[in-house]
Amino acid sequence: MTREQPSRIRGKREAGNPTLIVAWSYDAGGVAPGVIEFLARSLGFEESGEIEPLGFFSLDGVQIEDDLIQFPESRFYSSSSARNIVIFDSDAPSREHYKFLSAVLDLARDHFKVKELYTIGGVVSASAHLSPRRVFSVVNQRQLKGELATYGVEIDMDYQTLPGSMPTLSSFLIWVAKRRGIPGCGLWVNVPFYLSAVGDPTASKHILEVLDARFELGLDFRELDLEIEKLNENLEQLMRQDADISRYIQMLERGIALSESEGEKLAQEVAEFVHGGRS
Amino acid sequence: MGIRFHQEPELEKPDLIAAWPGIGNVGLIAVDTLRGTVNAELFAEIEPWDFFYPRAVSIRDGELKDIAFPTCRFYFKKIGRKDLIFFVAEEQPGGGRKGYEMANLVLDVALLQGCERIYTAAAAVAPIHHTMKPRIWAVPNAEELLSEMRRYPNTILMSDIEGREGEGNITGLNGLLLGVARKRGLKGICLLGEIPVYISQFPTPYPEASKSILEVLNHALGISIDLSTLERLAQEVGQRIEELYEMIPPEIREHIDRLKDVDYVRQEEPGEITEEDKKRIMQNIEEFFKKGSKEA
Repeated sequence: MTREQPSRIRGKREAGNPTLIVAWSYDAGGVAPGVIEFLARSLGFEESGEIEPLGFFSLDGVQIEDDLIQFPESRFYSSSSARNIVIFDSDAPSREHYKFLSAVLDLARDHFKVKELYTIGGVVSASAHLSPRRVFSVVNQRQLKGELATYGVEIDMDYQTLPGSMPTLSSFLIWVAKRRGIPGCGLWVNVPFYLSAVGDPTASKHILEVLDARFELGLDFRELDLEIEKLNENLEQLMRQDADISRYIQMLERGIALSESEGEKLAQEVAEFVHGGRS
Repeated sequence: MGIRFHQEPELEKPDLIAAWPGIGNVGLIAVDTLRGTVNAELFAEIEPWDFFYPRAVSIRDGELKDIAFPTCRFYFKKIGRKDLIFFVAEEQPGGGRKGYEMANLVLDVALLQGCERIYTAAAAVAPIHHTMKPRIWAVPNAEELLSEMRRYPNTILMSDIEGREGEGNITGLNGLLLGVARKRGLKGICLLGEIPVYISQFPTPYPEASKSILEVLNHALGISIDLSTLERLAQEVGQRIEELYEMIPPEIREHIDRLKDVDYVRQEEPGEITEEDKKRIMQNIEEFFKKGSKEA
């Protein structure tokens, strides 16, 4: 293989026509990475293919995060315990988006023989962490909607990109898949804005529950429930310590919008409390 | 990567006029106004997904209906015995390779239609005052066009500009298209409408320069296009510019006002404003805007 080839394959593929689950590394509330980490821990996924970064990412140098050098990764994973799904876990490319998405679908269709794809992600919302979560879908073929509704997914969303915003890479992928006749579905869950940078295991769990039901994965959520419980306890503690934070979260629970400064304070205090060791 | 044809017009040696967004949208406003005024018809477009990230998504009842990209469209119009093709793009592709690919696609269509001449239009940032009529800097890609361009109204060549010795550069697709056209044996001219250096820093279009471009195109193409729509737009924008101008501190406005006396076109006799004066005026103006952008 040369570095000019866009993709490479590792190992033998499992028989059948799996569904491709697509996750991007940066996501509101870390929903998609949370889902992928949980699936990998639970079902033992192994790397089975890769899209080369050349041409899709800036390779002028490397980023450093948490003291570590980072490098763009775009990998496929398979598991013998879940043969009906293949995972694609990737950083979002910075250029040649259409070519990149086409390369993903080429490998998915030609090597993994996938029959459909699901993208997963979080959407920032002005809601509270204990308020009911909504999982909603965007499909590229109408017939996909019926089955999704049986898993409690909202299937009737209307949306138009707002001025100043851009479509998500997941929407772009679903559109490219539609052009190629590949059924595709975006699964989204709302993430309270103040958990967007902190991580939101509850949101990840809601997506996992849909995938568990849809693909009969037999997932055990006890470990994830402990993580959720811990975060909720932290937030309770913060609310007890800070009357303003308590008031803001209660306002959100009642559907009352916060001012910009109140929202900023809430997000900052939660991030400092959870990540800054004040809990 | 390709071109989608909606119809195949029968044209005779059409001229192609192309524009992309740029400083003050000078070129784009000129070309798009001309296209609209003559009611040119859409006949082809470049498939945009290889060049651009989408701008908007439309989801109805949970189904992804459409995704919108910046458009890159070809139009045509027969005006008397003159056939014209317009290429109007909503965005410039990023990076050299993508630009080169797009330039070649535009020229593929031009050559397919038997085109022999292309024009592009853009802005030339110049030390002029906004109350002055913008001139046109005309830059061809073939030497034999120089004598023709000398007859254009209100037009100068690069060699007419003091200190440039006929040199300069045109950034983006408005220049690249002409370079690639030269490579492929197609003659072309870039018309750059002057935009005052301080206006180029404002978040506003500059239709005054677009108007000058259209006046030159009228002459070059041998057509007579009504410019009243553009004149109205220029008036409206002119009013906004005056309002912005009033917000500039008086001491800087004083420097800017001295641009009324500056002529950077090479003179036989030295003018009232010396080269040193010009440098000092420009330095003061640039420093003000640099400071402004840091504070913004």
